[in-house]
Amino acid sequence: MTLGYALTIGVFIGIFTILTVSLNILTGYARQVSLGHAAFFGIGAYSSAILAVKCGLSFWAALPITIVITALVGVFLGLPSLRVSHDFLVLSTIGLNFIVVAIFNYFPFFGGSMGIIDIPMPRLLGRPLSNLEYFILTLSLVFLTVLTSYYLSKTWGRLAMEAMGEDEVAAKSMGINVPKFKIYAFAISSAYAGIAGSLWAHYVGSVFPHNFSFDRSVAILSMLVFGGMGTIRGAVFGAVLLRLIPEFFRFVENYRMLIYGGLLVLMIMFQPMGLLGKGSFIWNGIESLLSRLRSRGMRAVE
Amino acid sequence: MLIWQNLVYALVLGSTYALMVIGLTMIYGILKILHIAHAGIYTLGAYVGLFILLHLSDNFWVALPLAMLASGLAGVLIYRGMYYYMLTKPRIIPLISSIGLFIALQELYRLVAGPYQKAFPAKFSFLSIKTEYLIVTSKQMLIIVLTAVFLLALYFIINRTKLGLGWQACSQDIEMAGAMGVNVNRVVALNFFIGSALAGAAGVLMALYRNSVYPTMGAVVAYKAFVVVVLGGFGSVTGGVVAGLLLALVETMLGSLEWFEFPRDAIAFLVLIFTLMFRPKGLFGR
Amino acid sequence: MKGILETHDLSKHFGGLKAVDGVDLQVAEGEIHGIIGPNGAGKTTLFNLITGYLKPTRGRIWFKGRRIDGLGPHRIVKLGIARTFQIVRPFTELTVLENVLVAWGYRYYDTGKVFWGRYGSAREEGLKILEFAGLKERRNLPAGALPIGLQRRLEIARAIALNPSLLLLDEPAAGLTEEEITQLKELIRKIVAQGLTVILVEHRMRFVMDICARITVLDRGRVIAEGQPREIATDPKVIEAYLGVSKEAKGVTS
Repeated sequence: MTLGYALTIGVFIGIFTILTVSLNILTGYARQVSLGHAAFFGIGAYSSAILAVKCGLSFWAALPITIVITALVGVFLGLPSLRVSHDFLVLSTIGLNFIVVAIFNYFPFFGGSMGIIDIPMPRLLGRPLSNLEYFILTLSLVFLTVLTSYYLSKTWGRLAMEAMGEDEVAAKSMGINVPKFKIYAFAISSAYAGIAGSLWAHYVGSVFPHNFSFDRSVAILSMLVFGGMGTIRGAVFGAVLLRLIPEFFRFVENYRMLIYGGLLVLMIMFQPMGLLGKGSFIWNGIESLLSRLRSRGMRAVE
Repeated sequence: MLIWQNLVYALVLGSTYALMVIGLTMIYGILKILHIAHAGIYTLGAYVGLFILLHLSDNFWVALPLAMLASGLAGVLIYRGMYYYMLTKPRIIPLISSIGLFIALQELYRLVAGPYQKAFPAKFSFLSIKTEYLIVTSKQMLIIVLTAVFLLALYFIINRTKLGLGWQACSQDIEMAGAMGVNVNRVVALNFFIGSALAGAAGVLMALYRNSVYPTMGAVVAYKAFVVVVLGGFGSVTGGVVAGLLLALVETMLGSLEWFEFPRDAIAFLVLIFTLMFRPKGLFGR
Repeated sequence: MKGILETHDLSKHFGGLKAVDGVDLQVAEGEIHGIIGPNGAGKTTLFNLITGYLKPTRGRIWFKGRRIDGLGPHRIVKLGIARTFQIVRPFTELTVLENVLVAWGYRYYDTGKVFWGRYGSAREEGLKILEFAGLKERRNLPAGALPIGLQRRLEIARAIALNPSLLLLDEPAAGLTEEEITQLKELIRKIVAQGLTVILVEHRMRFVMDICARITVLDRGRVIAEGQPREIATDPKVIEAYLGVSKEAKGVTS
């Protein structure tokens, strides 16, 4: 294991962490179950790629524009959620994912099935970033995402989204404008996904339609479910674990997806709240440990 | 004439959709579960059929019923081993479970049978039509006729037997049905059996038609089948069948346009979005 | 008499079914007004019309002199009308305190503070409301863990957090024990003492007779009687509509 390789893994873990944290806002808080999140990821990546390759913008200039574009498209793609919910919504998100990929595949503007290549490494101080520097960049963006997401989770908006996610009728009776908050959820969630897309495009150097397919959406949701849907710690944990473990179990590389699928089934049957979710076995243990430490600390003070 | 030929293609494609959608609709109608793993059964049918052809008998008429049996049993197993424990949980749980199972199944097929396409060497003979205007190969004929037979048999079962009555009751109000003495468990299990057997049949028929079996052959059909379920109106079997034929028709017609190369798969999803947005109850939904 | 809530010829037809038909209602400010009637009389439909969940087929509704028919639920809330539901709908996964805070947040949901202000800042106010409703000790329990009597109180606490002038209670006593009903009556009286007006729909005649100042009786979507409990209890039309509950009503007056 070289440093370079470790950094690469780190970058990808970072990208997926941003994705799971963003999906958590949509599917964890607002309970708009989305199996098409890779579409936003892709839109972010393609936007960034096109801005860089066709408009000559630097990574830094393209990033805010990418975020805005992805958020706007996110709002548009979120419109079905105003008409349908639950199963129907899930199917829509799957469908939208396929349509977005088909659009990437079909229109020459997006490079068709050949994608967009030769996306340059971001430059700073006149030279391209090194692997380490990109890792630091990724880490900073992950930090930013987690921090802002955490702040968000303490706001009124989050409360509204959770109430709406649980019971739309009751939420309406509390003055929550349900359609508005659904749109908020989609917009915020996809904005973050746009950041992840940007990071991907400039690191991998190319974007292809199949990078953002339904399988990818399934993977992202799986990480969130695995770690703990509805919590930021769960999102981070799920992404880190599900990207890291395969690295340590290279010998089961061939069985990776099988284990993945099986884990998903087992998780959802026995720990649907995820490993670190509210009320999970592990989290309960951690909480009781913390409270025991706290009371011991109090007694020490006395 | 091209239009009649296209109609034949559409019928063949539509038959596959119809066979798949029956199981999905029946299961959704009663349990309100999106049984994504259904596509894994489709593939299972094809592989079991292949296995029988290679090791037992190369006669198609032996492989088909055995494959259907195996698929039916697999379906029941999935119900009893997985969904049974999730009936009262929020619906995201069986949904994710189903996805996980589907992924695991595809991988299992890949690990056991290898990732490459395999041929489907079945021996059979059947009618065919060869006229100036229309050619219907024996394979196409087989699929169309067999599907029609299955649909008729299903119609008979749903409308003329006790099981069918039980199913209708369950899909309207499962608690009431149970209270009235319907053995809900048995009805559901038989549901899964029939639906899965039909999916397996679809798999075998497609394997025969395309002469190929590969681990991910269920994927695209799965997604399309859901479009059909939505289009037909969740819970309506007739609706699903008609919608399946309709979608196949649209795909064939639009796909054969010369001036616009429509990405075939995207058509289905556009239909999905439009249906969900403008007529969420589908064409025949309740 | 110009009341805090008035309806004129309010109607809701579902095809051929006239769920609510030509209802004229007047509720005075600060009173506890009951709406009773046999099953299917249209009581909940009436509530749904007033609170914006249904649009009237015909008729008008005034709240504090202002037309409100046709407005959506969340607008009605902002105008100062809050309601509870026949079947309790707590946010089961949120804590009792958080449930109240969700309601408290109505002040911010349409403002710029929605993603800027922290809901923890309203904790004190939330606790005050919980204390008023007698739920303070259970503030950190998930709402789904409460027994139904307390869930009903939580519903009312949530409604109070919306700072309403008019509170609509849909069968608040359903499924409660005698003791819980006494506590409920106390709570409602406390609420009215704070200056609110309460309209409640109920089946339990004794409860309604005991606590309401005036009562409107519905049958098959129409108003068949209106007045004080005493008048209602002896009204032959009401007795006829109920057939069988009459004994209970007579018991109150004699």
